[in-house]
Amino acid sequence: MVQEFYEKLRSKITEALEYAKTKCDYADLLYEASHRAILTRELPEKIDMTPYTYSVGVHMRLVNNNGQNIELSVTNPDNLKGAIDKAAALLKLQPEGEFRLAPIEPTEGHYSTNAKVDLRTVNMTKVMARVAEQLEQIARAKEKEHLGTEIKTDVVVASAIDQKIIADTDGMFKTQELPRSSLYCYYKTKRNGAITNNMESTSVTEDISHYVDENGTLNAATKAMFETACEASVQLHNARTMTGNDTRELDHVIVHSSVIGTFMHEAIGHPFEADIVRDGSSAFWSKDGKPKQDVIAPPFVNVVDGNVQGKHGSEYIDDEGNEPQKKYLIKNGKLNGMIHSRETAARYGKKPNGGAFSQLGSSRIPRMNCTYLEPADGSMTKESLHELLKDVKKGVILYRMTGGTVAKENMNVTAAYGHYVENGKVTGYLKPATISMDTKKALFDIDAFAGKISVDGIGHCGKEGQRKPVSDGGPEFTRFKKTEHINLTVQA
Amino acid sequence: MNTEELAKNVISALSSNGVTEWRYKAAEHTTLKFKAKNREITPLLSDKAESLVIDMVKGGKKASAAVSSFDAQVMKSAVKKALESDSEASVREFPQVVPAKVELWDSEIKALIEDPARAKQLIQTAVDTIETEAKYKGVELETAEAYLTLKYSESIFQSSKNAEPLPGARTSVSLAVGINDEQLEYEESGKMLSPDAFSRVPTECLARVLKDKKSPEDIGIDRKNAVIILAPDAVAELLEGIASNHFSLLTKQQGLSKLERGMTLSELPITLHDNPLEDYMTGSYRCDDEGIPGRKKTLIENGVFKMFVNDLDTAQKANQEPTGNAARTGNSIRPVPSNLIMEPGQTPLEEMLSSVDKGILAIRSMGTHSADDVTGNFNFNVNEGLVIENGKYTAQPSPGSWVFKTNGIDFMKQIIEVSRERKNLGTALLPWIKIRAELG
Repeated sequence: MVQEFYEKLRSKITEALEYAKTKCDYADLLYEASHRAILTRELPEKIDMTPYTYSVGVHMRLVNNNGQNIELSVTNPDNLKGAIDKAAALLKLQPEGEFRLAPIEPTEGHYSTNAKVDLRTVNMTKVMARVAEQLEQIARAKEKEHLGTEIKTDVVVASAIDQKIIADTDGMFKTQELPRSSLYCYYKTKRNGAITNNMESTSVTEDISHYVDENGTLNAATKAMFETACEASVQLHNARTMTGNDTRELDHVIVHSSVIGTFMHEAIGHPFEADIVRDGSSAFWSKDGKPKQDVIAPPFVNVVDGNVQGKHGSEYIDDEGNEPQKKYLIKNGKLNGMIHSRETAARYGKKPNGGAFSQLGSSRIPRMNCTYLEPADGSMTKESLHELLKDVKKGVILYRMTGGTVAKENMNVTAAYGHYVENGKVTGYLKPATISMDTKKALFDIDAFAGKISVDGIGHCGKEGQRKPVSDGGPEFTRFKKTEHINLTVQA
Repeated sequence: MNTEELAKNVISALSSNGVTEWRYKAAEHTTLKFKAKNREITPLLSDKAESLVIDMVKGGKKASAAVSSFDAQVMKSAVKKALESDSEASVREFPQVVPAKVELWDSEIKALIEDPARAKQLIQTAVDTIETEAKYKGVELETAEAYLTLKYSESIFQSSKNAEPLPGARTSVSLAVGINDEQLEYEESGKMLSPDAFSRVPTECLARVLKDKKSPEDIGIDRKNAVIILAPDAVAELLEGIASNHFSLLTKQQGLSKLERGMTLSELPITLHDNPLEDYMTGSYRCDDEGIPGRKKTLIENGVFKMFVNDLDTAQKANQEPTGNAARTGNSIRPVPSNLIMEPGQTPLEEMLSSVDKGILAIRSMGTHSADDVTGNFNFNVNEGLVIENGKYTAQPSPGSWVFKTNGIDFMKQIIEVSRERKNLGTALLPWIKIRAELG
């Protein structure tokens, strides 16, 4: 069935590219299709089950050797010819310029991860409903454990098969097919008229059997993850806030892997995307591709972007047909390299490193896959959290990010909850807190790590109106000295 | 769009699967975008993007299918697959689709999409203005961006109670200008912008670019009781990004809304309407996503909360009339406010600014996605803004240093003054608001 799908499209795509070649010097095409099944459960009686959605987008670039270029997108490949005609008329209006695409071998290939549970052929409704019910049951069990507490849940269970084809007028033809699965659950806890909120989310580039057995029963690791989130929602009722003066008295801020991951994604990943550099929006690189400052972190810090097998955001090929490389953005504290598309690679005289992605028919732009902090050596890694806290007099530990953003030198990451630390010991829960800081100074205050690297922070990164699955992480705990560079604001 | 054939194919897909209770909405969108980064202008043409959503009830179960294709075979198999759903339907009959009257179409926008050379000239004007004005004002341009998006959509909407599909069409335009990544100005509408917008918007954006950057410490502000002027964009972040969830009857029925009818939200006479019938606002519509006609409602009157917005499902549960606020988000339909319109206050903006000794104009945060949508709490990290000293703008905020604690509902209690002037943000018409808040 799958082979038949690609063969049927191949003739349409080849025909479109041959037609485009009569209008320009070079054209390439990206066809993306997404099959999804999704369940949302907001009230016991409000369950929205959509066993099947199908979305498709085609993105084409028409390029002339003199630098003229135009992008076009359609949702129906049958409409391509008319769209090419309109785009070709627009192409003629473009000035000559320096736009080039770095070369790519005109090879063919098919990349895929097989889905044991394929939503196109299997009825997903029962397994999704069973998963939702088990996430709900976690809340009911916690209510019994914490009498006087009422817990509401918002659940999302999603499963997808994403397909893509990348082809060009030089003869490249590559295809990729990946399953994806996600679980989200918000636990909203009422006690004595007050409400707290915490959620957990997990997403993988695998089918739903990653989370459940053949009967639809959640595996132990997944269940434990959501139980921890639900417990934190209850404990937030006992959490303290801090004033601005309180936070200035802290000597350390420690962040869990999901928080340091978002930190790396926002503060380092985005400013290392080569289109951001090209546009002059990077805090670290000049428009000409030269570092503004060589050293931006202590020598024991590396920051990496690339594939991590099975993790959310990993793909075999990018949306231009290149395999994503392991990219050291920072190596031993120094600027090392950027994330490139074919366009930015040509601009900076580099080879494409598999970093160009788009969302269903949108522009292909440099994007992250899995971004994480990697201690360059073991010298600054403590054996355990206990060891890491030993010399902390007043500190906080922040867990699970709820959102992060960067805008050149300004960045922030919000954590869903935290722990307060006094004289090396955890003494209570902390309300949601935001770290904001100047990206140029963000990493200098890291002074130690604890635990293994985990790349389990997941998200959908927004850029230029597009969303892309990404994951991020780092050592289980990363410790910062609390200096004036770190602004910590705890919610009231 | 061949509406006759499309309607025939949808109904055929439904009847071949034995569905008799249904509604569907099909739309075809054409978009012309220009992205100007520094002086490079890149066009993106999105031609005839298709979208189709079908809701069905069969055997007491509800089902939905969403596809971005008008292919008859795709529709048929999507309907068949959707019927695997075993969710109980609380609304078992879809009412007739009924439109209200509102102007949403401007033929000039469609004409510009069909004449890209003329459209490109408009964004070229914006790009040229940024460069000329920056030179004139001695502003060093690190980044200069401009985006122009022109869009028209044609649609049909029909339920099993309508003999014929209801045709619809709308246009929209947006112009956004960003300078040095720290200031953004934009304008959006359903009607073509006046030609002066392409020089005015860049000029207004440039006026906010100042050389100095200052932190709260630099100006010695009282952190516990800081004066903050929220620009309309910031007010929209709090109302649209956080409070709107609490205006929804679904949130109320979940027991998670902070609001009660008759609750006093502000001692000041704050009045807020929800109005989908404002001509050419981008949040306007003739009928909501369930086919109920849009109508104007007052959510807050003189500081007192008056009503929740609903959809068919929540209205039925509460035994209320539908308010026409159903919006499809993801795979579910929920009640969501449309255009939020706040009545103007008494204070001239100039006066509001000149009365501030030490404070900040907060224009935009780093995004409300990190707000707690249950409590409404939000740490507002001022990403775009202007530091105020002795009634004048003196600097841009130092990165990451201006974060104040606020709440999407409770900020109304902190209001000191509301400006006489308002700004149209496309989906909201809002004033400038002065508050006191604690800096983090």
